[in-house]
Amino acid sequence: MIAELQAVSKSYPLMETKVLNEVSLRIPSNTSIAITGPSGSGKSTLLNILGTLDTPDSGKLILDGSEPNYSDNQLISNIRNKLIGFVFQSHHLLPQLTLLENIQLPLLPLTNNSEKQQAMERGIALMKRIGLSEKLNSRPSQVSVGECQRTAMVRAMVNSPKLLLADEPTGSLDSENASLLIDLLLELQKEQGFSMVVVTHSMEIATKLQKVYQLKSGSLKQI
Amino acid sequence: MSIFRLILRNLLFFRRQHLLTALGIAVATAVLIGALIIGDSVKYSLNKIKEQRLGKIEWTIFANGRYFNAGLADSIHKSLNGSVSPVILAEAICINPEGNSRINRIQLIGINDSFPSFWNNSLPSPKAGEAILSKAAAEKLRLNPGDDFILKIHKPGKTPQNTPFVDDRQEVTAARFKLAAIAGDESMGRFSLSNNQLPPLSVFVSLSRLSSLIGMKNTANAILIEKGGSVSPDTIMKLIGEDWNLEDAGITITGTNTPGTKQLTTDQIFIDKKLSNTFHSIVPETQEILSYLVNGISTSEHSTPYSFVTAVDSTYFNYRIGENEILISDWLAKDLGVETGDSLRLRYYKLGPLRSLKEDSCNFAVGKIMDQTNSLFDRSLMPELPGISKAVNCRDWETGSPINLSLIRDQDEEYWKDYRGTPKAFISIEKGKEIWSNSYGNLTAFRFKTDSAEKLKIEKRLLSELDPSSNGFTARNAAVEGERAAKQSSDFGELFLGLSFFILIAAFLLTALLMGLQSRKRAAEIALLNSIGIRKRIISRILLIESLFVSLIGTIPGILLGILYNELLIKGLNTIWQPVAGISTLKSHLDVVTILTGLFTGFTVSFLTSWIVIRLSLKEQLFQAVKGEHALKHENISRKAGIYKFLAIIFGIFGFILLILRFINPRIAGAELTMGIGSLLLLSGIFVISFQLYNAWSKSAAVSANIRNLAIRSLSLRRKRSITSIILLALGAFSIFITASNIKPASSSKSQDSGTAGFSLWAESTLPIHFDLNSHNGRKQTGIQDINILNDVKFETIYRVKGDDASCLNLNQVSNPTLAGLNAVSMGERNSLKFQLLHPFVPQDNAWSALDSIYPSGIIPAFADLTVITWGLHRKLGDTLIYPDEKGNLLHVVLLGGLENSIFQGNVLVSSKRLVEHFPTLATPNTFLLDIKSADLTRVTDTLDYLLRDYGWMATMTSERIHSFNQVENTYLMVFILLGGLGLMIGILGMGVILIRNTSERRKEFAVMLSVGFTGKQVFQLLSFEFLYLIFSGLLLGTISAIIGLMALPGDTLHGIPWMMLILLFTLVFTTGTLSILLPAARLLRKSPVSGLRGEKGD
Repeated sequence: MIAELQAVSKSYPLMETKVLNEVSLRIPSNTSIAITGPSGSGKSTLLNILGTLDTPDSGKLILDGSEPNYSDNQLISNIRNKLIGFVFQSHHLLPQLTLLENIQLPLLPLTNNSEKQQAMERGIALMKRIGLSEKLNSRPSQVSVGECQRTAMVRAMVNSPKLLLADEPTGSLDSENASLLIDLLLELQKEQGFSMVVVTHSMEIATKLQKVYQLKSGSLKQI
Repeated sequence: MSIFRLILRNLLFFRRQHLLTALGIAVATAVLIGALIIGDSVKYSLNKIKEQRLGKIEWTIFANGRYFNAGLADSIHKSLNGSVSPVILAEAICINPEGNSRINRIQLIGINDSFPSFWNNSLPSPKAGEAILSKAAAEKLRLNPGDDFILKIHKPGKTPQNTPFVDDRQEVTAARFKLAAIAGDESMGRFSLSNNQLPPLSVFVSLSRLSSLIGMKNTANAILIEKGGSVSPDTIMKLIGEDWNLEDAGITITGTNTPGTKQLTTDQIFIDKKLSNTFHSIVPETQEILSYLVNGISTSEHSTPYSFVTAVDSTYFNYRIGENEILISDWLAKDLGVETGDSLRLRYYKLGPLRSLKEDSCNFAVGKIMDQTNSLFDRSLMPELPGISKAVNCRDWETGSPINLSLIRDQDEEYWKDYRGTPKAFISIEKGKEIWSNSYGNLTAFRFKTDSAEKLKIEKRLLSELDPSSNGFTARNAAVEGERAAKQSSDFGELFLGLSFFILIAAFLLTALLMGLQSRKRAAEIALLNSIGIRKRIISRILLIESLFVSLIGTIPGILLGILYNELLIKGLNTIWQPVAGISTLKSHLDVVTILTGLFTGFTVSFLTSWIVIRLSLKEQLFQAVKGEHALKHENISRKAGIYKFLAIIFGIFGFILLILRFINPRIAGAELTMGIGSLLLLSGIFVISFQLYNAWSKSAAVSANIRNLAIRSLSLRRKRSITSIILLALGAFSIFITASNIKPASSSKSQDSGTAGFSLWAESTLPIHFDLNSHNGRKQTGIQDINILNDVKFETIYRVKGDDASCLNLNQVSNPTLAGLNAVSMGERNSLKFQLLHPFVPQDNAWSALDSIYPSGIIPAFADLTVITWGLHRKLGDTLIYPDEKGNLLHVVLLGGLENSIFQGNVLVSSKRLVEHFPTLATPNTFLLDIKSADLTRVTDTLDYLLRDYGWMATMTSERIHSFNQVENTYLMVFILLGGLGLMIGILGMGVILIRNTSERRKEFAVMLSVGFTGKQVFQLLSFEFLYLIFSGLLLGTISAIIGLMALPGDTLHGIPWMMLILLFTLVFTTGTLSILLPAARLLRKSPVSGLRGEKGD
């Protein structure tokens, strides 16, 4: 089990109802899971909790067998750096860095040089794999949105995470590119053996993954 | 939706950003308004002081220091509205015997009941035996009403002090007075005719009491006239001319031994050329008389001492006396045992400067021996000489020349008893003029035949021909001069605008940066407006109208802030910066026009800045704006990096070449080289940083290697903004250091570079000292002979004609500065003062000789400190100052040389010879420079203070005098440094505000970093590094360039810089700026990364 949510609840200030109401989810290794639901149903919130970017009001998050201590900043950072990879809806590439430098960004917290080297090689190989080897020295403003999103995807994978979280990764893409991106993600997931949770409101995309859950009115159900 | 509605919505939505921009505008406007108000405030305060000084006085009448009948004031009063008050203006020594305090030079004013009417809240005039002190004087003397004090007053006499044969011992009288009251500023306590803001030390006594005390009963030496009516100098002179008499003009017509013959003489002993010519024109047939006291008339065997000899023309004896012929009395012939044809020698003194006496002689042949009882041997031929005329015996004579009493014989005493000053011999008038003429004149009397009626006519005609102005009477409009002096005083508005220059730049630059930042943020909005069909022109108008509102919102609070800034500056000038103004009573004065001017200027500049920023931002391709604020412009980054690298190297090389040259050839060292080297290195540094940032952008760097590389890459994204911030800080630090290097520490008087000319003491006396203090006679007369410690002291006497102080201590505009007459030869030999600038007419290798050069009549050359010429007098070399001399002629003083800052600051330097020629009475030897070899300077000073106390001797170390002048300049420099530091702080805060704004916008960026495993601490480190890189680069670059530049200055300049103050200032600026930025940044970063990511949805 790579990650597990145990009866996690979350609500936001000024809201009467809970966004997540005692939600539980088990994510085994090497699994792809889709989470669907209407807009504002709490899908991103669930993903943020899984990625330690947010904390639950109640319940537990278990990552790689242990509950993370949110007050330990170093531990949380390690988890985000090595265990988890995040792909956002908007690529959030740093405009001042080239595509190559953007995918190298997660290497900065690493202290082991050989680890860094390996990750770097991995990143370049991935960029080649996704057809962006010619544009390594371009800046985000010089390439298309789709190319940016693919680069963001490589950034998320450069440290070989065990869990990849993608929050509406195709939200900014047209349907053709969206399909290509998901296919690519799934390919890489199979090759590299990480688990993947994808938040999407597209059933077409959701059905491509192994499991599909629906989040509605704070509750999560597998469909 | 209308454009107006859109504008309102924009204003509301972007209110935080607009308020920040408005704050920058408010600061800039505040500095502008504050600086302008302070200019008004200082002028207002000076004008107020002028009103306190003069009250309702408009006109002042003087007679070149001479005394005249006080009743003249009443005569003038009959024809004018308003008060007319006769006064005696003098200087005295004031002593509080109980409190052991004294004022060596106090302004003594003799007043009557008409004087207090010049002020509204005045005190009544003091009774005889009472006195009123000004507040400043009472405080210095520690006296209260009811206390007694002593005044030591010089008795002037009618005859000028330096006249030949007039006793040079100062007659001084002392009198005790009771302090009746203390006059405050509003009630005559500030009275002074000098255009100066410093509170005078004054004592007011009864005019009649004072005139009696000084032996000049019922006289005055000045008249003050109240404002009102159309009065002009011509009117005043006409009124004086209608009522003055011969006594006022110092002329006496008396009878002689010869019936029907009258004699005209003057108080001045010698008749000057003007009077001589005038009288000749009225009475063409007149006999010229020149009587002189000779030391001896002798043959080879006998000698008759101390006799009067008269030179007459041929009409006197109806006999033409030959050039070397002498007619003697039988008494003399018997005394000398001579006959007609025998040879006689006359020995006599010729008077030089500082009463230096040179004995000269001339041989004559006895032409005739005449009967002593002849009426033409007239005792009235001897002039009325104070000290001689009333003496009972020869041995009682008190003359201005030394008398060897052992030479006086019984027969000489007998002669004196019988004949008094009857001349013993006569020579021709031509010969007399040749050997006895002096600067006062070449005749002692006129004789003319007349009857009583004719005499009256002659007197009347003489008075009408001798207009008062040619007899030394002058009328000046003190009120207009005072107002002009205050109005044209040092412009503190301009000064503080200059001193606040850096704050202004920082504030406007900050405003521009904020506007630029906001403009880029709104690029997408602008692109959207354009994409839906709104033209660029309309978009521009929308943005400009928003800017208009923001500028208004910014400038209005700027008024209040400006008033506050002005109050702070006034407080500073009244306290810690008091050396600048010299007083602590400056008051704020708000003028609506000034405030509106500042407001309008602040508004215009900020609005113009917005216009420029908007125009520049709209020039971008709007489609690029869609790509976001970081869309790359068409910029060849690599090429620019290459250019900056090249420029950095070139400027750096040039800078260091100049520095090396300075050390090879120290003569080229100076301020210009410092600025040159410093500026070149500063530019080089700026290009180095530009290169680094441009290079960081274009070259791939291992940004993953460390935070530093990532931070530099981030800075290079906003490289123009980064470079602008660094330039601002560098310029600020550079200016502060260069300014600090100009602060002058206290100098040693021994150094000939110090402006002291190597003299140790500057001394002034209340009573003039007419002797050469280097001569035996001079030392004997003043009691300083045979004092061992004074043996090596050399005195240099300076004659001064009092005017306004033109030094930096006087804020008022000066048009008639004090003239100081020096021995040009002595100064030339000393060659110890440096000239900053010399007129081409002046020989470079012997500049001082120019002062003694002969120029056409009425023109004399002059030098002064160049700062006095430029800032005190607002003149330049070659310009002329005009003074009326003692004869009412105009004297043109031409400025031919500008000295480096010296002890003479405040004075215009001329040759003492030339000065005394034009001002024989007014040029007073009351200032001295002392060259003291003794190491025990204090003992020398104390000894002289004691021995010369009755002259009102006050000595200051020349180094202290220079320091007091330097303190004014140093204070201005300190103000600049402090305000510069404030500007730096504004710059850093402004930069920080932009950084905070950035931090806010970069939340997504930071959220991504956190999501990929950066710790919060690492993100904070990144932000801190960016901020500190900008600050350190700027401050270090400016500081290091300045310090290297300063190495180009001569001497040990770096030691004079107030390092501790600068370190404290920079530390304060840096710490305050850094804390005020990084603390909010840290707080911002503590927020959950989710909030940064949320920006992608629904914002």
